Amino acid sequence: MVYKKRAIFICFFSILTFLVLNFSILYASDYPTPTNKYVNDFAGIFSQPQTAYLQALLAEVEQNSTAEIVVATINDCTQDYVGYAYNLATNWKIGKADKNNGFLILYCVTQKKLVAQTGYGLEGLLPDSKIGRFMDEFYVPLRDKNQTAQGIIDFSTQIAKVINDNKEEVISGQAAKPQTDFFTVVIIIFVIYMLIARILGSIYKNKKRRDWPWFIPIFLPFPSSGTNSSSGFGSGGFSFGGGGFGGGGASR
Amino acid sequence: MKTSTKIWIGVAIVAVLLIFWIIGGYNTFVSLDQNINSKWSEVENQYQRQADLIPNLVSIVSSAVKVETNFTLSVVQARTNWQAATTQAQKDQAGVEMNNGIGAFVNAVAEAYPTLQANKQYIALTDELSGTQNRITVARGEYIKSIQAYNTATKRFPSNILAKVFGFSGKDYYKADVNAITTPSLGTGILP
Repeated sequence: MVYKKRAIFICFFSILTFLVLNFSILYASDYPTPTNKYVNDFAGIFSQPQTAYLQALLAEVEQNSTAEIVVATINDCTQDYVGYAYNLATNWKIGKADKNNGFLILYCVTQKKLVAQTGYGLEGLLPDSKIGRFMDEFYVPLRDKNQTAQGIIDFSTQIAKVINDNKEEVISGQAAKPQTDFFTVVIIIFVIYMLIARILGSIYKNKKRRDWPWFIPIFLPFPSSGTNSSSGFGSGGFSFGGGGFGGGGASR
Repeated sequence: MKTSTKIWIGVAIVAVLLIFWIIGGYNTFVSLDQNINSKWSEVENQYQRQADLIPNLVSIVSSAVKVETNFTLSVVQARTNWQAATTQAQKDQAGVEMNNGIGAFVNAVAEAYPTLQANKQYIALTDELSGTQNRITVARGEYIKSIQAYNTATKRFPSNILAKVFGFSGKDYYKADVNAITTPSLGTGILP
């Protein structure tokens, strides 16, 4: 009887572990884990005061408008730096899930490119041409004077200004997309298990073998339809709001 | 409880689970199929957005510099082809050609008329165009992913059994060559 119980226990948890692993694979990635909510200076191009300034600026924007602006620097973004920026932004899920109001400002050191990616919800406020113009006005002149870091800061300040000036519009946001949370799925699976076990257990109440129903194999034969079902689960270190991106933005 | 009753209860439970599984499976296929359609419509939206930008592009370029008509011909033709396309495969092919045509046109213009680089309207338009190109890449990627998800479900055991029963067969996706188009031939830049 002891062996049997142990076997049941192992069987149940291995199924659950399998399901959990099955989901987790979706979140594995080749992109760095964000270490900060506003400035992720992986290439180390900002000075201490510059980082502090950006953090204060972007924190203020989020407080005012809920929009999440992230400044990141990466040593090598590959040749397709725009694609890299998009993947990074969607990987980190910058922006609130119901408003898609994320904005990524990425500087690629090897490619010497500044790339901006606009979340769906900010595309109306910040069309590509406007972002490009801001880059030309605030970033390019400083970049050409070898003051890239300051150029990125000036550009970011300008983006922050536009969002702050239109915070009502940003807050009202886009229609919320229905999202299934990863934990909800696990909990539902668990509850179904318990229910079936309970029902079958009560049917066989008179018998001694009360525990066999645990064996009933429930498997998920279908892939989950939403790959972005979790907001901020797999990234490990730090998580953003779960916003979506469509590929809009500009680069210089 | 009699043994036969027990068996019947067992059978009933299995039957109920099976029915749930079939309903869930069928619905999964339906939503995967719907997902493909919605992803495709996003691709079309972005192509359309790009097509809408072409007249602006041509008019800005030709008002700023003197260009020959055959200079703009291929990009205008690409737009016409896109508008004429009817099937999904045709639309994607025409869309990709339009996409590449614009890229080639913008490069050619930049080379032939460097002064345009200072034209604010032109820069704004090229930003919109490259943003749209990137959106198309994203939308096509999502579309292909949605088809892959659907195809995986039709091939995976045991959902492939349901797929057969309900006639959900695998879908082909059209993969147009993104670099298929050649650079348009340049004129001398002087109107006849």
